[in-house]
Amino acid sequence: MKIRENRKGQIRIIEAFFSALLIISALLLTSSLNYPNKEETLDELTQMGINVLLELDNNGTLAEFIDNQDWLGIKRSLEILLPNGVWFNLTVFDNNMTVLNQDFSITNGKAPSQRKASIEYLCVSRKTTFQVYTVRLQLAKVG
Amino acid sequence: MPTVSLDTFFACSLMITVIVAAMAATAKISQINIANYGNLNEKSDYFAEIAKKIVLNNGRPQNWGANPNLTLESLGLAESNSHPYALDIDKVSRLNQQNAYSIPYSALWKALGTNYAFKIRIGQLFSISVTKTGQIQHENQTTYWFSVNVEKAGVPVTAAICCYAIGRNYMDSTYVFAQNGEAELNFTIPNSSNGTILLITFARASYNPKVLSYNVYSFYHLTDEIAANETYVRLSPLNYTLYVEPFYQNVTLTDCFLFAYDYNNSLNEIQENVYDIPRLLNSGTMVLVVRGFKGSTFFMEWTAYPQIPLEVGANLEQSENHVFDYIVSIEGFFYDLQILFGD
Repeated sequence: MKIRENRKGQIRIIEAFFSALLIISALLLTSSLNYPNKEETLDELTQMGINVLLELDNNGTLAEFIDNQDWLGIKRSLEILLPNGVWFNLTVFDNNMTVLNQDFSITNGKAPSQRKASIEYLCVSRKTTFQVYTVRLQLAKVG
Repeated sequence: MPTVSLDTFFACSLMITVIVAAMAATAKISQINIANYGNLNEKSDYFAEIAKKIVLNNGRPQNWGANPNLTLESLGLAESNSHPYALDIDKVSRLNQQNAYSIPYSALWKALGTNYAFKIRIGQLFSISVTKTGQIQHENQTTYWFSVNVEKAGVPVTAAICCYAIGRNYMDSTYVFAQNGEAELNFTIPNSSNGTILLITFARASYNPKVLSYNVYSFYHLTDEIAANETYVRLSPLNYTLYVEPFYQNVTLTDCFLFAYDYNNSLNEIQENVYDIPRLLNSGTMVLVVRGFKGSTFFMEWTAYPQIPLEVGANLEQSENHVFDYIVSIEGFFYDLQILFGD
């Protein structure tokens, strides 16, 4: 009878040991986790997007691409200007907010699930017709 | 007291101790993490502002790049009266420590006015690699074959290629198109032009002519002489002038050339060892080559204007880095700028 009672006590100590082990391992795991700062990443991407659009537009290249409906030209330029590992999707609207590149999606792949930075940029054609376009660039980090 | 009660008491005590200890440790770790994230955000914002200051401001005095007699008071690389992210060709060239008028890191650090170490890298948007794939020597001339690869971080870039070969009493050029980033080209060089041959390659991205890179590949034509670039002279382009500083007394220069995409010409000597660089429209990076002799030894050396790629700053390998990437333009052509801060 005494032996059985002693066994019950041993079981409780083993339980306590396992619960302690569980708590310590959970603690170690949480302390080693690296929390990504999503707001900071989005700010970084927004800054990058503005930078790239300004650079593409500064000599009229972006407006020229849009005037000529050269969507592949925009895609290739973004592929070179943006670092690898950044997903992009660009949409061009006219002044009635009608999508101009409906037949061609200016993107480098499937949208990742992460949050995206979105930049809207006004681009003015250098042609005498004075067209104003709204360019929406969405960026996200892949992986 | 029965043994089971004692055992239960010890087990409960142990559990309570562990839970209390775990709560205390969690609170302590969380507090450290929360404080770190706060600091990290503050620091990141601070570094982001400093990086913006470097990229978007002219610095003080405004024309510190072109005039080497001015003392740099505040660091800023932007070109005066230009659009955002346009950098000044001379401010950038003065960051290159190979330029005789370069500004040392200590002076840049002082002019930036920060207590943190930093590094600035400026590079081309994509790279060109040239490999000699074969050669056949004839009685009077030798034909060399090369393969050219154009890529950005391993991804092929379709580009139009303009390539020059220059040697002693010899110059030739060829144009090819690198579909999917690959091209083959060849040059036939007279055997009398033995010595160093420079193969200067420019690649212009097919969809955007403002994206251009260059590469200089040197090889030895029917000779075993090996001399690295800048063995005999130092080449310092600044304010559209090339200053050539010989390292030896018996060095004489014979001529100087400018190479750009679709354009090349010889440069006019305006003073002894000083050449005028013309302002070209839509040229991108220019490669400047001088030819000369040290005694009877022929040499040929080169530099680029703007003097890119470059890297200046502290060694940040052992520290945690805050990195800021920008696409910048110099004289209308795109480059990659990276500013790193060590923490």
